[in-house]
Amino acid sequence: MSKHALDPRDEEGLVLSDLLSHVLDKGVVITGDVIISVAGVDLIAISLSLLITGLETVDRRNLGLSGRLPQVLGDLPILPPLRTP
Amino acid sequence: MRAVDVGGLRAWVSDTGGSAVTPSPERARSHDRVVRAALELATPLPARFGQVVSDEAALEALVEPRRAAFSAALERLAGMVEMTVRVILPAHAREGPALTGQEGRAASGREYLERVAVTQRQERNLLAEAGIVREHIRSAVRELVRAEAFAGAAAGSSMITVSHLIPRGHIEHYRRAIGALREDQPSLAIMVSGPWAPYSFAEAIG
Repeated sequence: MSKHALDPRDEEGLVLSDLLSHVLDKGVVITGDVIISVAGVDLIAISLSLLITGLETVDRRNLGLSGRLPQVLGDLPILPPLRTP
Repeated sequence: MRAVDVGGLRAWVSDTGGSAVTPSPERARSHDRVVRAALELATPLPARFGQVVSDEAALEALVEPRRAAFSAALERLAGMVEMTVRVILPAHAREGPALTGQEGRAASGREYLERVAVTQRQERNLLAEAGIVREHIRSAVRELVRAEAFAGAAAGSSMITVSHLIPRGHIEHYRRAIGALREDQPSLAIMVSGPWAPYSFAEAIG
């Protein structure tokens, strides 16, 4: 089986399939030219990662993105409850 | 990765150097890592992967008219995460009666119509089973969820996907509830993932 097969009964396939179905097929769309689908993942050009947050919530901490985020979806941290800003 | 302030909101963007980037599992992971970094701070509106703008002015022109909708959505989603349940429906819902001469072209008009009837019956069975499973899931987590997004079994598919918007504090309760459902329904292959940023609950905006 291909390493990137999307067979949901295969654990690795499930994790990847779940990732792709969330990232490529859901989320806010603000440009009219998004043509990516899960099935066409190898075919379509992309580039920008973009998301929207409230300014004050992001300003509370430095981001420090690299090297501290989980790589494996099956082993995600439990997020603490948020305080209301 | 950098942040661009747009009318009281902040967009997290990365520069592409002007060249198109081929999507790959690793790039999808990178996108989600950025979204998860935001999720650690506060629940963001995750953007769908692959949206390209030419510059910051173009980004502002796209975000500004949607600012009120984005703000309302951020307020609605504050403190929430998405959990996703996938269920492979049991074999009896997927399989219909065997037909002789199933391979190749139908030998007669009557055989063709029989095949059509069987296919339709299988699809009805799947739809009915999907509805039952959806109710099982709904009952198991009803007290924990604020919203549900249901992707029923598509034609030819025997898997359903249900995403739930839940408060962060309910993640472990949710997992336990799905675990109990798994024990109650051993014929169902039930898989749960999350917490995700609320990808499935940000679609209607924009």
